[in-house]
Amino acid sequence: MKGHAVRSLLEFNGVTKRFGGFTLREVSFSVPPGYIVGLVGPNGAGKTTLMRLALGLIRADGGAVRLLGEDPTASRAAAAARARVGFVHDSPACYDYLSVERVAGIVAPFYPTWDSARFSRLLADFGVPPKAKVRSLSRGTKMKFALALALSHRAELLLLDEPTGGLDPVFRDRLLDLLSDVIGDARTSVLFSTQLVTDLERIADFIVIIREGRVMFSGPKDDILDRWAVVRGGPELATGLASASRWGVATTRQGVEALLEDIEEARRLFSGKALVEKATLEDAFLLCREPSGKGE
Amino acid sequence: MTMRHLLAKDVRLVAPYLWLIVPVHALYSIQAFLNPELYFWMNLAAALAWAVAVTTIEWHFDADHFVAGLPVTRAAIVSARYVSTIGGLAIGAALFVLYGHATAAVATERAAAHWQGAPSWATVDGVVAFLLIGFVAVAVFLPFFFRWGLPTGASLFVASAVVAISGGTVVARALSRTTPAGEVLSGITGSLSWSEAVRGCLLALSASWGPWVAALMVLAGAAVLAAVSVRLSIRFYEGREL
Repeated sequence: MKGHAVRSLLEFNGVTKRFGGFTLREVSFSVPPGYIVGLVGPNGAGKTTLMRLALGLIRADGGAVRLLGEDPTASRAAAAARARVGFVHDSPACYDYLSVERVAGIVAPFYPTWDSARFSRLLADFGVPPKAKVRSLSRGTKMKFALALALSHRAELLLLDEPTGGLDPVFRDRLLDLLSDVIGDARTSVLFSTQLVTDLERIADFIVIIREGRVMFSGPKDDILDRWAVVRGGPELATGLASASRWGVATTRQGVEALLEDIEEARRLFSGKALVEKATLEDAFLLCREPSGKGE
Repeated sequence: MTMRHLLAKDVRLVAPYLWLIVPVHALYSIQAFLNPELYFWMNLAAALAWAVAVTTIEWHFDADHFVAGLPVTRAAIVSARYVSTIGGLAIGAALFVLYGHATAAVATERAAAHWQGAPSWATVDGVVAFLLIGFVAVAVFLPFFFRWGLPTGASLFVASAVVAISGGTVVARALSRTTPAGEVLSGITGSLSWSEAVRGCLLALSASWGPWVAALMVLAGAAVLAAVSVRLSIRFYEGREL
């Protein structure tokens, strides 16, 4: 993602943000046009904070955020940029005493590119009753409604904060297909945060792994799937693995395991002494951590 | 354009509750038979409650971040809040007058005898006092709200109002004993009726400067207060993390 030739729709450049007991540390990554970027991390890793920074709801303490080329906390330019952004919050249930169509009636006028026919079609596709009060919807249906709102104004950038939370597996599958279709025009991009690595395996082009406010990895998903290796062996390999892996070694019941960025190098160093396999995103998610996490 | 959409949003959000106006004000009208001063304050309280309810609706529904994520500036959100709040206050004033006159139309002579002259809903100074007190309350409340949010902002506003009113009463009483304007002030503050106090001040202004100059002075004062209040609120809200 760094050094991508086309101008990015969203950029975080050395962004820091401190809350009470939480610090986002020098986060840098970008979302290029026409790609889906998966932001994956455990609860409290900083995913929602990054979404809020992207929308200008909070200010960075250091570094720079650029939304469609604009500082999202600047007034007019940022407001104009937000017209080209669709977002889904992790809790989309505001104005729950109103009906679905009434909430849409409130939101639609703010977007010059709002497409009512598309919104109606999405509601029908998603099985969201337009006359129903928002409070009567299940969490999953509320999320579908929020997605329909975000997808109905032909946004260039979709910011989706844990959109698959509360969704049943069947609809999650359909949503992932839908997102793939959305970026089919190579103009729309998606930043998609989740705790479910399986979501990203299906659709993400780029992966950002964030843990305790620090980006542990950002780059193409295929780099992980094609080139990375996970090495599992007995405890006697701990020292060798620790010097070969930039993320250190995790201790398991069977011995130790570590992530290496070059599967050929891993085979050369550890074949015959340990099990060397292609890494999955799950491996990357679990093992990309500070070296101080050894032994966890 | 954006302002229109924000105001339309507020109208749509409160529309489901608008029917409540009729029974609430009908209930308040009973007070007009018994005590016009209480009727004034209950109507003002209702108008302010409506205005504040509209202002704080996003806070109640945890929708601040939702609205701030729309393609609008924070300055537009704040400006729209002032328009809808002051609009709510103006509607409250209209209902105060309307229900007051309706009550007067059906009041018995015995009830009307308690009113001692023209009640506040039937006089220009009474309606201006209603709007002025409401406007000052809104203009002082909103910067607190935009800076600290509802629970803290409202608490600080109430505490400040208590201090200001108590202080104002003490100062007015002191002035009434030591200044030539004491006749007006002593008449007003003797009963501690603040609506009468404001009406008295408006009448005194009008008597001294003529009605047009007095009106201009009141409008100029309100404009200065509005400008300071809006500027503070925008500055506070632009700095808020949502």
